[in-house]
Amino acid sequence: MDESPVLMPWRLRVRMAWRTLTGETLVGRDPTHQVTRSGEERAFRFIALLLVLQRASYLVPTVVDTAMGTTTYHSPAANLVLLTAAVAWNVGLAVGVHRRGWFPSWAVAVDVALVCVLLAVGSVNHLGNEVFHNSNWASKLVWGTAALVGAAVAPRWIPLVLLAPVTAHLGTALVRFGAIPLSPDRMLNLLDSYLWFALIAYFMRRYLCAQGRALDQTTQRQLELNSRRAEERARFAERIAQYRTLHDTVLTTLTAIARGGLDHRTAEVRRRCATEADYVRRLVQQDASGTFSTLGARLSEVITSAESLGLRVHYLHDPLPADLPRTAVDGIADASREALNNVLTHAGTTEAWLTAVWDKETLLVRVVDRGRGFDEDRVVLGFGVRRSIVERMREIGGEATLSAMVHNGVCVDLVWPARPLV
Amino acid sequence: MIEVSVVDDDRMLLDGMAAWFSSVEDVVLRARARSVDELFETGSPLADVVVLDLLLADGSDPVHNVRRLVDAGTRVLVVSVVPRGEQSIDVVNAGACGYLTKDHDLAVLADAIRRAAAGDNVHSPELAFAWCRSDRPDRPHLSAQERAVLLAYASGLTLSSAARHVGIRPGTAKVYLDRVKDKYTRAGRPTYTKLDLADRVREDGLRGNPS
Repeated sequence: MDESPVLMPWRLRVRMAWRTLTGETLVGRDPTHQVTRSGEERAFRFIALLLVLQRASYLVPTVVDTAMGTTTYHSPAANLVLLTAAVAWNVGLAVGVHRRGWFPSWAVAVDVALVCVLLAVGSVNHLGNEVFHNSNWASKLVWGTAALVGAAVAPRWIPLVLLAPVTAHLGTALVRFGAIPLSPDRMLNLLDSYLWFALIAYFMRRYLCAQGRALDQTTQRQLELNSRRAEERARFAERIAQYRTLHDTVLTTLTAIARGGLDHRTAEVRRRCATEADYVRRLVQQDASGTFSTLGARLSEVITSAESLGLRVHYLHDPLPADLPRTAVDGIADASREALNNVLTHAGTTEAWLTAVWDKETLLVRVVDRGRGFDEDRVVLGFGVRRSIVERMREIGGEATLSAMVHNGVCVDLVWPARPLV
Repeated sequence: MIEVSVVDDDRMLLDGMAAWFSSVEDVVLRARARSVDELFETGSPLADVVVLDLLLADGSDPVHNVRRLVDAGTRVLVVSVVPRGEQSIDVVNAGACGYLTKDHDLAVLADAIRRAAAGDNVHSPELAFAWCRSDRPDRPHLSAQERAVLLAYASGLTLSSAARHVGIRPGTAKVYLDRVKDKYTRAGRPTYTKLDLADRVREDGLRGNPS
């Protein structure tokens, strides 16, 4: 199907516009669309939706009645102004709460103030004395405000805040009629209805938010458990690989020496033993750090690979973070491998040092040799260094720097993430 | 001629040390023992330098071992198979003149023994790394320059290269390392009471001012 909006069937365009307008917020169509939000946030949004729908249930019939010309007011024009203001305010409130996720305190205060004005002016403008009847549409909005106050205000302030619209309504009636045109029974029912709307909203918010928080905690625990399990599985897989390497190297060498098949006094066997001892030493160090780190495992692989080519690598490291991005781990490991390869190829020495430190959210991996070095002012970095070290680090958001001196080796610093320019 | 004794619970390593030192002209192996108790039980005077394995099979406390040997008047060089960051700091604070891992070759060990015999501090990358990366609450404050020198030296640069890397005079890197050792030694000697203070004064009097 051609996805150009101009050529799309109009029904599809209307559907897309509706989805854009509502932001897919109608729970009935897709209850899982908000799964990325926390449980508590979803509870707030759900309660906000109910409060908005409640207000819509009061305003929509009023708008329809007004459009049909039904009026119970002295001045239909004034009534229209008030109704327009009420509708505009509530639409703005709905859009605002859709963006923010909940009602800010100032919006609650404005809503209470607005409903007081609507009650006062609407009651004066109303024909007859049924100002507390549903024919005075502003009196219905008090329920909406009461529910909002119950959901958004601290419980100890609810009665005080509700006093404002109640005072406005009763006060206007008293001023207009000289008395409140309500029997004690009806007055009690009216006040009772305001209070109960507030209380129901308060308990609904309390319960749903508590459930949301409980869900968040359970989800978090489950995520941590899954993460630990994944780490354990990775650790197990790594351990199996280590056992395999130990079997193929250290165990084989020791068995051969024990059975007299290898002369431990020869330089070659001693070198082999030193390399394998370094490998075991790295395993012990890694285990002692207590946490499994993909970067640590990858650097260990890089070193083992370099040692298989005849390089002796001294390795010191901090406990390395377990949650580095995969791209960063790969980039740093590959750049380290290239740095060690350069030692083998160019330094004229068979010894190197690799140090990894983690400090204030910054990783430094340093590769050093004490070989022939080079004159930094005269030698242009080769393709291998530029491409495989410098650019590779840049691609992952890090940086690489080299320093060298003739007869004093080379020092390669791999830093991730790159330090900010000062 | 420098006399060396070795304390290590690994019999094969002790035998290997004998073969090793036989090839070094100015170092002679006086005694081998599997524990500090065993070394003292030989009854013979202690050597100029004792090479002491950090973790011994008899379960003895490394710091206590170092103190016994230092109090007996010998220089102690501690070695271990793998780098033991905080423990290496503890034994140096207790009076060891240096700490090395066993993966260094004979030339490095022999040089360390010579420095120890001469009364000098023996610095190593693994000890420098431990000082630089220690996060113990009572660690001393190190300046940014001191940390940079420690890390440069720990990461394999020679002392002169480390000095150049950090931007100080080549000869001053060792001064920095000695200063850091002194800071850690002072930090590792708590003085809570007057009795502690008296102990510290007495220790300083026995060993001379640690400067």
